[in-house]
Amino acid sequence: MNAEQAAREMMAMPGIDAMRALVEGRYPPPSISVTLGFRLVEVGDGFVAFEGEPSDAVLNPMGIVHGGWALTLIDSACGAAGHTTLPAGVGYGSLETKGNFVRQITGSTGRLRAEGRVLARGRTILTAEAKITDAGGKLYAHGTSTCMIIYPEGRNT
Amino acid sequence: MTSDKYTHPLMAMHGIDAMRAMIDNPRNNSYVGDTLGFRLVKVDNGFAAFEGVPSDRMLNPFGIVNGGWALTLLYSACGAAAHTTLPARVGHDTVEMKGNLLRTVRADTGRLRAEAYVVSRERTLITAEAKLTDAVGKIYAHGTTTSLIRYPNHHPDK
Repeated sequence: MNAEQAAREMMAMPGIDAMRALVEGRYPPPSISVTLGFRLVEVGDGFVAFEGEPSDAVLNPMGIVHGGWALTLIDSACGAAGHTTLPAGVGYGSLETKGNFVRQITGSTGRLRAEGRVLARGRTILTAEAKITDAGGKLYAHGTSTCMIIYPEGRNT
Repeated sequence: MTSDKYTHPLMAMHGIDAMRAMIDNPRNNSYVGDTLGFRLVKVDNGFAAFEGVPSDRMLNPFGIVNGGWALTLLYSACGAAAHTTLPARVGHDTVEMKGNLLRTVRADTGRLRAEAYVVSRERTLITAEAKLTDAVGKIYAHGTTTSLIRYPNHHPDK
């Protein structure tokens, strides 16, 4: 199945079902998650978790993991958590993301988990937060996103 | 490859020279730049520009470029602009970033340019801002970062 067809089919489902289908591998993982080495592992109502292991492909010139890796994970976890609250046919776009990098991530940090949770879900705007931790619960980065809910033309709910 | 950031060869140079060395020698480009299709193209004192071309390797499940791509470009530009203000052996860590995503980036959007300027450079903190635009100046995203300056032990500026 190509990515375009997968996107069409997933948009026709309630958001939480689309996210579950990704966890279960019923659709191919989106290319960003392959490129950056993380995948969706858990989904709930207003909640998701990604897991990933940074590789050499995401190092900055100083040999440490580029902050953009954590930021992308925060943006993805917040967006996917928001998406679980959307009915079929309704999409979203992330408008802004802010992240704090509280501990350095290196190529040898190992597996990290990003959990995203919806904080507020209005008709037009939703906000979510994400935390990136290791297996021992040590915090590496945290952040928030604002997403705009996009209804099909002519609909406002 | 992981190296101690304070003993990295680029750290032996003034920040602006290290950034110029990255432009002059593509081998100094970061792995993340190769992975996400962007590179440093211009630096000046307190300024850096990256250019990147989005591709189908960075799409979210709905077929548009993940917001993290634009955020990563803005982050890199702010970090490089901040680095141009640092003397040899002094490093910095970006401690936070906020970005606004204004326009959808698609796999076929074409070349985008992230330009960053240092807003404030004090002894301990640097703030920088960046904008991501296309060839005709249409803005796709903008953001700001805060960086903590890291001095080696006994550095005179510390």
